[in-house]
Amino acid sequence: MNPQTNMDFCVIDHSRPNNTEEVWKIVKYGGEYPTHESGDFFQERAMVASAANLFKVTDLSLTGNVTLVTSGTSSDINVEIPEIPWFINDKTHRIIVFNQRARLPQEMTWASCIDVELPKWGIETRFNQAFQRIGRFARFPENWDSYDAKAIDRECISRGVSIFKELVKLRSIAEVQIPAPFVAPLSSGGIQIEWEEGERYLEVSITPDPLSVDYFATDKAKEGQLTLEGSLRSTSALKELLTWFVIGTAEDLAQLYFEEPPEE
Amino acid sequence: MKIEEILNEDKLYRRFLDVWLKDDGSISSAAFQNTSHTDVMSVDLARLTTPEKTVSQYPTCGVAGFLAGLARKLEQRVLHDPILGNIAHSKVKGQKTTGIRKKLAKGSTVVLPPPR
Repeated sequence: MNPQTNMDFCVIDHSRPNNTEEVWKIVKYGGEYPTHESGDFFQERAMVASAANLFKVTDLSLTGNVTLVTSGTSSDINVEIPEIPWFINDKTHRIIVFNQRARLPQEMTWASCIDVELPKWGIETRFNQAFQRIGRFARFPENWDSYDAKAIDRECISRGVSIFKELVKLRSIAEVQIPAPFVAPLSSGGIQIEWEEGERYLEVSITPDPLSVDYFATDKAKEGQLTLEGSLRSTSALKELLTWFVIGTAEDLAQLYFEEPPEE
Repeated sequence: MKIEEILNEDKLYRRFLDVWLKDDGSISSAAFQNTSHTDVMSVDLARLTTPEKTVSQYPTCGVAGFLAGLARKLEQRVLHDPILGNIAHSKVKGQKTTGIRKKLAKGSTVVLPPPR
């Protein structure tokens, strides 16, 4: 983050694809952007503001949704989020979407604008894509990775599907949506589910022989890289980890502690 | 076959599939697992091969590259281990914890992207 830049935030109006009538506004933080000159955007302007100042979007006399795109974690910028925001994971960016008319503070100045990548519409689509990937892993033959990988274990797939169902149930934490994860097959015949945002990383791995579900969480703190790992034994533990990933801090990760369930 | 000394500056090639390539172009740590029931991850020593040779028998694969020194920093042993048909074959020996796999992934670059 560079508070000195005069292009800390950008606002672009954009009509939402797929024949909807809503008008979308996209606000992107950070970096220098090329001027967008095509006719795709029916209104283009950039807001010049310091990242160190409070950025409040309230009303621009245009109805529609406003998207804030930030780099890094949400704590890197001061954003007053109205009503109920939700997050979708846009590769390296975190996007805050909220439904409200927008008003830009009078002291903010305007500059000619810049292009931004459209957010990936619909978190459901991304969850479904990840879910379908797990199903495809079931068809991988032995040696699918060229290094003698085992076929993906049916029990691991079944457990992966169960975790995904839990994710769908949990999808909203503190009114913030959990980003869709990246899912990957493991050469050991297991499945890996991962979320990554800057220095923050959460992984759940499901491995066979014997079946086990483990987590690995890491974040950058003032003292250095913090890491937490162990067996994932309950849905509540998964929820705590996801809560940390979505809205927590590295210090929150350091405080996480999962009680072992009593032996049966 | 002559056994080469692998220096820290030597680059190692590891084949990977498009299922491990994330939308942002980074590689998942899942691509850096040991062969099942072993403590060895196979790689090719870059100076004895080419990315194209590394995938010549595996058209669905791409090639990731990382330095031998990175693996050694992660308490792995890096040894030249030529095999019939692949004089560049080498092994990265040692337990691959999730943290180690993640660091290998972060320290790797896509040398040859897998076909999509």
